[in-house]
Amino acid sequence: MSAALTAATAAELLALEGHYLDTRQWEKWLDLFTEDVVFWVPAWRDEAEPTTDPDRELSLIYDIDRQALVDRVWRIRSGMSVASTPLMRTAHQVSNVLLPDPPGETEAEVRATWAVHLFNPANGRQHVFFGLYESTLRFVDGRWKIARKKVLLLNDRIPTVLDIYMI
Amino acid sequence: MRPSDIDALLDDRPADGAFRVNRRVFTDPDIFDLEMRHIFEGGWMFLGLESQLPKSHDFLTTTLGRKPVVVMRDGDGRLACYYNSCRHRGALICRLGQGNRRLHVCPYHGWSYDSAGKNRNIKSREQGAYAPAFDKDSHDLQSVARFENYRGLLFASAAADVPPFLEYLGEARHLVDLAVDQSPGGLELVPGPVRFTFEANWKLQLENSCDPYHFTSVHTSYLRLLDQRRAAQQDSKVKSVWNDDRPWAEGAKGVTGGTFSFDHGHVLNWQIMGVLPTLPLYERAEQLLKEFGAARRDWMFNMRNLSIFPNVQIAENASSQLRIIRPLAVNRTEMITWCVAPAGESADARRQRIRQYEDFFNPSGLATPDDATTFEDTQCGYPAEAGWLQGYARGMTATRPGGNPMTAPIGMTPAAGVLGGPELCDETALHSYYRAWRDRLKQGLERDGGA
Repeated sequence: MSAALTAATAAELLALEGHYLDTRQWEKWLDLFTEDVVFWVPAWRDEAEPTTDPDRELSLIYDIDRQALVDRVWRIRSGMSVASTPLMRTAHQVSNVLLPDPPGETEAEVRATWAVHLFNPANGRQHVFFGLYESTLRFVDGRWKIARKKVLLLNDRIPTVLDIYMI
Repeated sequence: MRPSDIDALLDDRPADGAFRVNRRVFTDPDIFDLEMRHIFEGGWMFLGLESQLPKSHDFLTTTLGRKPVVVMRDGDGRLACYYNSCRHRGALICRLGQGNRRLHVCPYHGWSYDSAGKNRNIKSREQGAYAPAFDKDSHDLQSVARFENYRGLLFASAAADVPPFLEYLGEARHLVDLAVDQSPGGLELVPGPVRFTFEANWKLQLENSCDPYHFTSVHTSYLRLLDQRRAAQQDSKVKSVWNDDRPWAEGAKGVTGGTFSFDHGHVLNWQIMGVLPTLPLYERAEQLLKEFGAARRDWMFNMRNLSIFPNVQIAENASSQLRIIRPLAVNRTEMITWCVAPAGESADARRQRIRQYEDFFNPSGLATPDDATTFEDTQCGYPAEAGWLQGYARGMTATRPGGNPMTAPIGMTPAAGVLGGPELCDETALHSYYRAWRDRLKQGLERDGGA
């Protein structure tokens, strides 16, 4: 049994996702996603339009199951990736969480605005990635999980590296 | 700076088995200025693909060094390259990366130009009280000195006194052909360019593409992930050729790859891959065999990193990337990268190519961020001492002038080549970059009479 998704529940789930990344609670972060999660960051076709068809156009990230996220977390924590060592310090801010009307009983597409402040302790450089989320939330095993996360990165001129914990 | 100052930055003594590069070439802003003037604004540069401009009045904008340019297809279908700057006060006339426009109206004072670069209107000209001297000037967009279309790859030179393009490309044209011939429609770009920057000198990107030595150290995490995926026998989303064939594996015997150097600074680093079903090109294997014979077909399936000096690289492995190197400062570089593909491949092949591309090539992928971060660490390391780098010495006793058994069947005669096993990791091909670099800077300085 599920209750219709509330704005508070959706906002908390999205905030929690950022919080787990910012505090390096990787296992808890992974546990927020369904097994068949699609984690998608489109590229931009031109100045105005993001890519829309991941099979015919390029994406920055198109990970189509939870294992792909597990792989990324493994690499981030492996100590073998200089781009991830040290990790950037991050602060996720998620706001303007909007629900569909009416919100679904078992699935709902939630929209939000996000910014992630980054600080690289290796060289002192900082950056802010920002954009829009479209997250499909699904009620499974008694709780809401993220079944699809589309991250529209609005400033896609990437300084050196972009990884899943920076967006 | 004088020509002899440039000579002093390369210790190039082939007879003594020595080739060393001075760290200053990566850190000195005066050298960067010379590179802009005499390499990026002084010779042939890659602009883009003809397939980006299929229709009349299509345009794309880019830069030759610091100079903004626009490539346009006019109403008769002819391509040409102009400086992207209004003749009136200099504003950009094209402000977008790409588009289609019959008439380009300068946003500043409304002068307009057609897609053949001709001035079509000077706002309120009759009322402007212009003197006859003004009427004598051409008001058309200025053409870039040289423009060339080689099999759909567009190049231009801001300087007129350059060798004809085919002479410049030389024998490396065979390698461009290997990419273009994969489809009767030639090459096309997958929509969605990705741009990223790194805080390091542009020549690090040039070197990296011809540097198999870094692969097992910089990409350890990526290689381990592939091992894990293999072990788990995942029905992985990423069917990777790297899973089937590991030419870098310790102990592999015999020749597995090598390098070729060409005049004017072009370089290839390659490895045998095999005609594998995991490659997106596999669907064309039989057809390509019929059209081009076994040798050329098999070369199309080899891993190839081609650099056409100074600003374009085509990398073909499990996927395929076209990248443009755009230096912004002595310690800052922008990369403009595309997934490049044979036009008209099947939807399955295209999807596979794109997935493998994202996995490896993107700055948000599992490999390229480690390269770019390493470039920055290297840039930080250069000032540690004044003097020579020792990273250009591998392969010194293995390099041979001219072609070898691998080049003969495709009729290519490089300036030099190295054949070897996976651990040879030749560095002598990099000499070709630096000799071209030295020659271009010296010629420029000689032309300018010092300065």
